[in-house]
Amino acid sequence: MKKTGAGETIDRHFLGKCLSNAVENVMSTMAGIAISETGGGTGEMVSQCNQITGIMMLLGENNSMITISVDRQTALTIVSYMTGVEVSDLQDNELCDGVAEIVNMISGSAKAMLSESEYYFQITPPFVVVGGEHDIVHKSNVTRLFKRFSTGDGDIRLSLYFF
Amino acid sequence: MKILSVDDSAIIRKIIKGAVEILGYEFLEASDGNEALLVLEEHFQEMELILLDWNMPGMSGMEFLKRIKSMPEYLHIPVMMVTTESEGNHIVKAIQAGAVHYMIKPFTVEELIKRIMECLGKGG
Repeated sequence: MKKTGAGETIDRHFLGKCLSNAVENVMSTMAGIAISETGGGTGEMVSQCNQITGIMMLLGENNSMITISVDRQTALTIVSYMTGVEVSDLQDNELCDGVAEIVNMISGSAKAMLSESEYYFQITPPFVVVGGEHDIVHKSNVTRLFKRFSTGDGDIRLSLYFF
Repeated sequence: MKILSVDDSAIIRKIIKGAVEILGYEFLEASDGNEALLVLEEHFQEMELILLDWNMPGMSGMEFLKRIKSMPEYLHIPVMMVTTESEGNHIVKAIQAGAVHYMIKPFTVEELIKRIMECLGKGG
């Protein structure tokens, strides 16, 4: 929520930039993985075929939702690097917990970056959608900003939905 | 010598376990404040440090911190917050409630080990 001006809305691309920085920071700090941004844009995305998606809501003057989506193998690699546990030894519940914690840290980092610019919001606890190949579908009056990152071995897809 | 990690994330507890065991301490864990109280009741005499998350279901980290800092038998145990909450007012609240240190997620294992060692040098 920006503190100045009735009707003023958060700069969405600025929020997107903060989240990109947060994704890079969390991946490098917790998992030792240097990621690179490989694409992005606005609007609809073709079928996403996500296998694990971490979700958090950002609640302020302008509500939004962050999703971090990866395929299962990428999630396994990231959580393995975070914990030092071999991929073959990771349980499904640990995988989901790892993705939830990653999106939690990304949101927290972004919130901290935004607080220095007078934007402020509350963040909800994270939750994770798992299974098959799922898409995140939204109504037509929702604006979507997305970014794609590469870990070298897999992709991370960040989406922001503005309500 | 024991160190307790209180965090609703099993992954975070696993990461902390690695650091605690590198330092040669016995690792104990709890997923929320209520469970942590039960662990503390059994192990408080050997407890050297508590690493405490802020946002947890059931009893939050702050509720747990205030509770144990009101109990004489637990006053000797230093507490370090390990949390995504990074705003200044959160840090002030935690210190005022009795935390001796504050670490913001994300963190490297090296940083975690360094902070744990600092806490162990400070005492309750």
